[in-house]
Amino acid sequence: MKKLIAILLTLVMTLSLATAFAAPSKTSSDVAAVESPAVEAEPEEELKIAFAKTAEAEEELEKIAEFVKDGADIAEYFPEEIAEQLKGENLQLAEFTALSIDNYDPEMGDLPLVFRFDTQFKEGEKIFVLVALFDAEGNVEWVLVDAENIAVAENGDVTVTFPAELLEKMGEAKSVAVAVLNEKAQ
Amino acid sequence: MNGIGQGTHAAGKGMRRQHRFSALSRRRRLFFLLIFAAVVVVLLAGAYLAGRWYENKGYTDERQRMSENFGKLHTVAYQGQTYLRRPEVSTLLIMGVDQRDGSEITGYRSGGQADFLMLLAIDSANRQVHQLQVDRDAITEVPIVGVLGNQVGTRQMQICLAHAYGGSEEERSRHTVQALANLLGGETAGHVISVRLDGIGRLNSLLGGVTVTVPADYSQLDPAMTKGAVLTLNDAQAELLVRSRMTIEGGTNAERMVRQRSFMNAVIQKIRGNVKENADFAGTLFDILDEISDYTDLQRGEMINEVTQALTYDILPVETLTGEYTIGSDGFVEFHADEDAVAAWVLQTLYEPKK
Repeated sequence: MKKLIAILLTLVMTLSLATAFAAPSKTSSDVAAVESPAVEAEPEEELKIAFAKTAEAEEELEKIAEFVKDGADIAEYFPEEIAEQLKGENLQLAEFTALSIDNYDPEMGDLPLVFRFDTQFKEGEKIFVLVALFDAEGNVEWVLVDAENIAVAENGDVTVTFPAELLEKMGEAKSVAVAVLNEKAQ
Repeated sequence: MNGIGQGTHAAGKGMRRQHRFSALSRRRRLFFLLIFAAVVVVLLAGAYLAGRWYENKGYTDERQRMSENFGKLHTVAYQGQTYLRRPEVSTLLIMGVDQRDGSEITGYRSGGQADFLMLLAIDSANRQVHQLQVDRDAITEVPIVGVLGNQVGTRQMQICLAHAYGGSEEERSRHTVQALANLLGGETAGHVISVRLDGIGRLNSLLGGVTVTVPADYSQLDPAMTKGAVLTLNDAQAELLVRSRMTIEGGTNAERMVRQRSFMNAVIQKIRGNVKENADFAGTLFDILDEISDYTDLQRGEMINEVTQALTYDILPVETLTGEYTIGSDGFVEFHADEDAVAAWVLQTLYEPKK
C-alpha cells in the first residue's frame, strides 16, 4: 500500500512539474514589471498601476533622443530647477516608460511602487527618478522625485515612494511617464 | 749615367733612407694595422654584443608579452589542470529568432527572442562536428541596453532574451553571442547566423522538403502529423514542428528542443545528400542561408569552405547541457545549467590538457 501511495505521489509530482514547466515562454515584454501596493478597496475601485504605451510618452522619448544624440548632457533637457540638481552627475537615460494609474484616491496617501526595469540597477546605486505629467494641450511638467523616496534592492528592483500630492497630479494628468537616470558606464 | 749613378746614388741614398723609412713605416704600419685591427675587432665585437644585447632584449620582452597574452586568451585552468584552446576547432552559433520577415522592430528592446540556439564546434583535426543545443530558458548574464540604445549593464535571465536588445540585427546577434559566452565560461562563438521564423519554411522549401519521422502525435496541429509518420514536410508543417510549444505534448521547451533536433538532423542529411550529388552545392547552400538569414558575419568563401569541410566530417549527435528546471519568482521557466556540465563540454570539445 505504501509503495502504491509513493508511486502515486511520484506520478502526481511529476505531472505537476511537467505542467509547471509548461509555463509560457518569457519574452522581452515580461522583463519589466510594476507592482501595485495592496490597498483595501472595493473590486471596482481597486488601485491599478501598470506600464502603458502612450503617444505622449513616445513623442517625449523621441525628443530626448534627439536632444542627446550629439552628446548633450541629458540634465540640460529638463527645466532649470531640475537640471541644476542633475548637472555634473554624468547621467544617461536608462529607463523611460508610460504608466497608467487608475482609481487612486487621495485617502490612500503616499504609495510605494516596486519597479522591475530591464536595467538591473545595483543596490545603493545613485539613480534619479523623474515623472512626466502630460496635459491635454501637449504640455509636459517634469517632477523630480526626492532621493530619500528611492531605494534600490539587492535584486535590482526599485522602490519609489510617491507622495500623495504627486499621485493626485498623476491621476489627473492626461498621461504619465516615468524616467530613470543613472550614471553612464565608464 | 751619372745622372743615373747620381741619380742612382742619390737614389741609393734615398733608397736607404726610404728603406729605413720603409722599414720604420712598415713597423709603424704593422703596429697601426694591429691597433686598427684590434680596434676593428673590439668595435665589431662591441657592435655584435650590443646587437645581441639589443636583439635579445627586444625579443625577450616581445616574446614574454606575447606568451602572456596567448596564455590569457588560449588557456584556462580548471580543477588544478591547465587546458589549451585547440585552434583547429572553430565555432558557429545558429539561432532561430521569434520574428517574422518585415515585422516592425521599434526601439531597442523588441528584437524578439532567440528560441533556438545551436552551437556547432567544427573540429578539423578529428574531422568531427559537435552540436550543442542550448535551452532558450538557460539563465545567464544578458547584456541590456537602455531605452536610447545605450549599454546599461547586464541582467541574470533567460538567454533567449539577449536577442531582444539592440538597434540592429548585428547588435542583437552580438548580444546573444555574449550571453552564450557568459553561459559557457567566456567561450565566444567565432561566427553567428541568425534566422527568422520564415526561414524554417523557406529552408525546407529550398531543400525540396525535409523528411522526418514524426516523434509524437501532433495531429491536432496537422492531421498528417501522427506519431511515427514518415513525412516529407511542407513549409507550414516544418514551422509547426520546430516552433509549436504550448499547444502540444507537455508544452515544455525541452520537448520542443527534441523536435527542433529532429528537424535539424533531417536538414543535415538532406544537405549532405545534395553535396554528394553536386559538389557546388555548398555555394548554393550559402545562397540559401544568405536568403533565410537575418544576419551573419560569415563571408561567402569562408562559409563555403567551412560547410564543404564540415559535411565530410562525422556529425556527432546533438548534445545538451544537464541542469535543473525551476520556476522563477516571475512565474517563468528557468533552466540552470550545471556548471560542471558546462565546463566538461567546453573543455572536452574545445580544449586539451596542457602537458
